[in-house]
Amino acid sequence: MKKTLIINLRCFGDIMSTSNLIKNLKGNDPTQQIYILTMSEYQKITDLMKGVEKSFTIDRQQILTLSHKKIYNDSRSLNSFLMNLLPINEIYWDNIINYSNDKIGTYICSYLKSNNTTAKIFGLHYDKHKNLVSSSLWSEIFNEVLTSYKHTPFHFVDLYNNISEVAPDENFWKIPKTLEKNDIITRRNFEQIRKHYTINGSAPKIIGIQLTASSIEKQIEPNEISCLINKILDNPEIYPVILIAPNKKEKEIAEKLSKEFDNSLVIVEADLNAIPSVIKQLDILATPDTLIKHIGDLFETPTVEVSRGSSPFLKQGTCNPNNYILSSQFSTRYSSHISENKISSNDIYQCILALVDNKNEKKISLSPGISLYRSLRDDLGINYKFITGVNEIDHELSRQISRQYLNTLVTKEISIKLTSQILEYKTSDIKIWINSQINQLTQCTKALLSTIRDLKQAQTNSKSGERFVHSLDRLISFADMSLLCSIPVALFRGRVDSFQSPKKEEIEKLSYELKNDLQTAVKFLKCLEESVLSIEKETLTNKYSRIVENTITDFSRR
Amino acid sequence: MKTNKSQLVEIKLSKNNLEVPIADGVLLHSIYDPIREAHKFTTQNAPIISKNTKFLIFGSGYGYHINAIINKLKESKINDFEIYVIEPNVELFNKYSSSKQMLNDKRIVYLVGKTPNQLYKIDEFVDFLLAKPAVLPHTASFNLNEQYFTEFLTYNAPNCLGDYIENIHDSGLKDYLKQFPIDIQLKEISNKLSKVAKDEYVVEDFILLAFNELQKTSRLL
Repeated sequence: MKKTLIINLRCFGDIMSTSNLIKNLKGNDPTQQIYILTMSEYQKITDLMKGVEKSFTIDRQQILTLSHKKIYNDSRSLNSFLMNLLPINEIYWDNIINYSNDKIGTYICSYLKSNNTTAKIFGLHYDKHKNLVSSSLWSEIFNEVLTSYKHTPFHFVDLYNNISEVAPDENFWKIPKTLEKNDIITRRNFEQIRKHYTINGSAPKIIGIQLTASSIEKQIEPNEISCLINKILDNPEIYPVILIAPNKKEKEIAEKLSKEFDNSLVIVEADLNAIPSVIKQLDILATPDTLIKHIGDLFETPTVEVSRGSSPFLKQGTCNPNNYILSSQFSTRYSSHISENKISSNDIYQCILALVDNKNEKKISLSPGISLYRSLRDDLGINYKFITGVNEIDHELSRQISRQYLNTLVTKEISIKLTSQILEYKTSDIKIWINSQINQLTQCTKALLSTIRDLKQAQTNSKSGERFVHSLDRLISFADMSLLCSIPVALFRGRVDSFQSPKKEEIEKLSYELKNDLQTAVKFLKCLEESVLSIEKETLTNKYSRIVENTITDFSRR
Repeated sequence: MKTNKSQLVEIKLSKNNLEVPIADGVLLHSIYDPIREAHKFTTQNAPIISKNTKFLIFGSGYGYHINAIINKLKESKINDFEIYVIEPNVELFNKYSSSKQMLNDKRIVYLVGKTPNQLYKIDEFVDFLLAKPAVLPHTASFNLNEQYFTEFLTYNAPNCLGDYIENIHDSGLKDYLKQFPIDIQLKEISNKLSKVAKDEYVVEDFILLAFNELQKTSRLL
């Protein structure tokens, strides 16, 4: 029986999202035993997850207390840390998945690998020379490209599947555990609401509104929540319930809100044990919170995600087909000097109506500066279709086309599929985008050739070293420009950085690999251009055929 | 740090015929009614006693205050409590332990005549401290041994490798750490590992590197 350890040292939402990978791992091999290592403060989340044989924890709070208090010497914290690692080091692992890919997780993988040399590591670990080893190109893409490339070509869930070499399994079991007692209470309460507000035999759909998020910047603004509740209450087809956690802060906010509605609001106070039962039985969920969103996804509850603040744009978006994501337009999400546009109650309300009846989608009209996306599945996994609002062509084309370019890099076969998401744009716009990317690729290639030249000179003349460093810096600056050429340069940068102390020969070898990748990018863009031209030609031919056909018909009628 | 072993202890009887110790001329309980005084002590500390099950008491005296705390806990039907009592005066404790006042209860642990350094080396006691017990100083004992208890509270553990290497449980890590000078601190070893390249890294290097990274995450708590 295979034993797999998933190391995930991130927070609530990320840990809950691991359920997608566990589901697929179990779907691919139901006999394998899955274990998970998290920080102890998140154990409540792993307790909710199905398919986990056992969860191990690092008691960060205790270790740091022992470290920081001067009354204890360092042996205490070190012993405590080792005591946490001991049980995972005693198990013979077949696979270790470095899910969080942070430094602690990566060092722990290296520690486990040192003692268990046959274990296969997915993701990052260090070898005995402390060079960073990526298990696959997908792992490099996750760590080097998605950390700097802003257009989010792939969803994290797909990347984790690809890194762990598992195929998605859509039909495997639902994941979060629910307690029967909580299921019964929720069902009874929701049935009462439905019964009480039934008009002409038609029961309203229950809309759960998550009141808060992990940070204020991510929350829906209080006045917008009040307006949203009013709008829902005015519509007999839907009924709002407010979701809060049982803590003082959220209770106070809920009480204040409830007073505005003469204490008539239904407020569902649910802890981590109870919230899955609630979300499972909602008809629609509207949430700015990542943990709640992930639970909604796992139960396939139709969801409107309000994506605000520093949360990664689309990287971990709600992923069930037909769910909506409302976001301030892309260019404001990453800007430090432009403030985010406000998502209004009306924006959220219209999305809720579209989830009630998809015909309403066409009627959606958003506040200024807001964009709406709908999740879907394509050949490469989870994708997002731009629906309405601010349409930033460069961003949308970059997102969709880089997705295919990355696939080309992995499969080593240039394949272009002009998806409906790309063909939504005029061929003239696509051609402008291609030309601009080719121009940047040319600049990037020039920077690369200068780097190679300066590197060669530096090998024979030590004084040229400074010039080489300067040209290498210039080349690497392309990695953060979010252009198509940024992708191979980001991979190159990661590969150079993965060496503890890279030698000139190694940099030279990597430079030639980058040259190949840039040439592939050019070929990819040329191939894309040809496809666009053939579409243009086809459209033109069809247009002329139709004109000729119509003319002949007119002529024969005469 | 020295404990106050040399304190002279004599026993007197209170007005209501109960034994009261006098250490270095200081009365440790009421000479009129030590039980009533102890009851007052628990009443004053009632909010603390009602919210906790773990208590650290500074000074045993003749145990009147300890017995009163236990009675208070029993009234609240709390039976799973744990009490540690620190008493620096060995002679006082010897007399107390042979008196009628001494309760034989496994839930009470007495740490007698130990220096702060010795106290912080007791694993069970450190585990107890990590559980954040409520601290209840017996005022007369605390005032008598103020310097001792202050040093216990403001104790800075010697933190060079040589001070604790023998306390490292993992034998592999202990052997690995023996290669470093005894006057070096763990932080210096970890920082050097992060910044200066080595030809080959061993398993213990990765443990220390992971441990070092974990220290940086305190802001996430």
